[in-house]
Amino acid sequence: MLATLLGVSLIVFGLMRLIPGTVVEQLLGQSALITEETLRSLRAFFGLDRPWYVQFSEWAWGLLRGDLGHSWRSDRPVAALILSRLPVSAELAVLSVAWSLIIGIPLGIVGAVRRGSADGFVRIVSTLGLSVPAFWQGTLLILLFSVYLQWMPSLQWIPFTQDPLGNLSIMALPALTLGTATAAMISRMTRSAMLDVLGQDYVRTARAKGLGPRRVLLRHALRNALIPVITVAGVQMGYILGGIVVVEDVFSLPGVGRLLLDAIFQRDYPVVQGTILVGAALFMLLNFAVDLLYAVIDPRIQYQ
Amino acid sequence: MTARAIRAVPPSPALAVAARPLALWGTRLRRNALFAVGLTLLAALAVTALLAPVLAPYGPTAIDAERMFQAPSRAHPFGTDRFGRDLLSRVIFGARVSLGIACAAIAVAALVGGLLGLLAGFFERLTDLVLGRVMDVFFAFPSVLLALGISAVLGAGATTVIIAIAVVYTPLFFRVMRASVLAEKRLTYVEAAMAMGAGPLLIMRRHILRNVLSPMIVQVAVSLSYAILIESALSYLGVGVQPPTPSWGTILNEGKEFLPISPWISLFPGLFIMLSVLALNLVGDALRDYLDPRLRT
Repeated sequence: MLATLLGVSLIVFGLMRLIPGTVVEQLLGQSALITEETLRSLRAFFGLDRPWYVQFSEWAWGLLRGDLGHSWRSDRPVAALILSRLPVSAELAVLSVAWSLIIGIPLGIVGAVRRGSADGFVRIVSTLGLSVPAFWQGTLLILLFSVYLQWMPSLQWIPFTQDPLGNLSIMALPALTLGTATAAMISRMTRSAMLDVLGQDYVRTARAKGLGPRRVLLRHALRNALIPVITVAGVQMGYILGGIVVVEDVFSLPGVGRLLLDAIFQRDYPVVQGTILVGAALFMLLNFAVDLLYAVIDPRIQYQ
Repeated sequence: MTARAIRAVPPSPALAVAARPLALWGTRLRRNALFAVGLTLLAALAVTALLAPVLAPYGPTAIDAERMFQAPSRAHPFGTDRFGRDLLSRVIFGARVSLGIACAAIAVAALVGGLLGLLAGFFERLTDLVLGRVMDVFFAFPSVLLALGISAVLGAGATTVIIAIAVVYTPLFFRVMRASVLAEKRLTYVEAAMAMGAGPLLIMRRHILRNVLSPMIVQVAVSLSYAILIESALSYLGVGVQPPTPSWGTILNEGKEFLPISPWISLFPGLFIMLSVLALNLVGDALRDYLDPRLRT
């Protein structure tokens, strides 16, 4: 994991070196008033006149101390900027994962247990859920609720601790939008894992010894079917982390995704760099947490 | 002589099943209604994209100041936008841009990822270790974030989007190809070919490659749908295809400001994105069902 993290930081660092010319030229544009001397001093100011490995080692040393650099626009530390926006994005991610599990798992179970029309319905709904682009779904929801039903939540984001109901009314539609594709993916995986498990001998044994259908389904079958479901949920975290940028833009939420987009448009490269790095590190951590969850769900899995 | 001798080696039973599928799929897939729906939809979208100049009633960038924000009508079935441009024509030309970018990006990813996966799986050892580690690093990024990062540094535009999507999907094709090659390489017929002195290039090209294409084909169908979604997302966010070029995401981006007064600008391109992704998902599911019944959806 550490090697991958090093590779990730190298790529993020290298990305900023792919900018045509250097960031200085990009920031200043094609102005005839800028002399070669000014350019040289600005490159020195940004440390771009030194070899790349010196720049990287300084940057990486900063990372180890939690220093992601400073925003070129606001001069605030990038880490502080990200931390200030993190609660919005974290809440959005948690709510959308919760919604996708609450909807996806029962839908998948229904699909596996009630073959026929219910199963057909689950398959169609999940295929549609996977096909709807989040930004379009969000747009349609805004159109329906804000324009046609005139139900307008506050435009100002309110922290959950300050006003739980007000906060949830703002976050409901974004979470629904972000969680739809994940819910569809989870329902598909639950269905196929349950179908697999329900055909196994131990489930037949559980039924034969007189256990009720609910107990067989939830305690014996579902628990074993959850491993692939959790794997899919882990992979979907990548979708959620990327989707946050889109959904925050659609619903104008002041989260990390919005911070990244604003930084891209303002060419605030340290913020772009820091945000993408934090996103990748979070994705890795979440996948690691998913690996640990396997052992909780299935005691046969042990990590040395 | 070696090549002729190798061709004469009868395939193993496992291979016989793997080599048959093209003919077998044809029969089986024809019976799958959802596959038929997906394929028809896909064919219709492809024809729309290819024949855009013939099908579109107006030019995609033709401005008509007297017909701004017109609701759908007989003259403009999808309505018009803020410049009076016909949205049906823009959506039809958008199919060309969006599908074209997705196809180009996935073609690059499949070629590069496939080739590297073939090398890693065949040679294993150091090649596999180095390439595998590099791909693991790219896998560590959430796909949209990586695509956004690449777009941020290379600047918005169709070429950038193609590069971004290709970089995101290359590791996926690498893994699919590598896993298939590793499994295939251990089959007796490859060992026989090696024992007969066939060179690595000949074995890879003539024997392994043609037998590992099936999972790659499925992966292409599945990845194309995600590529369409990423392209539209980048264009919607303003870092992908730039106006006035009509991609579905760009049209949606242009419509978001005017949602309360002209919802049709946002409605139709989104519908087309959904239909194309749906078509590819249906085709991909059917292909996967026949290739790997364990993953039956």
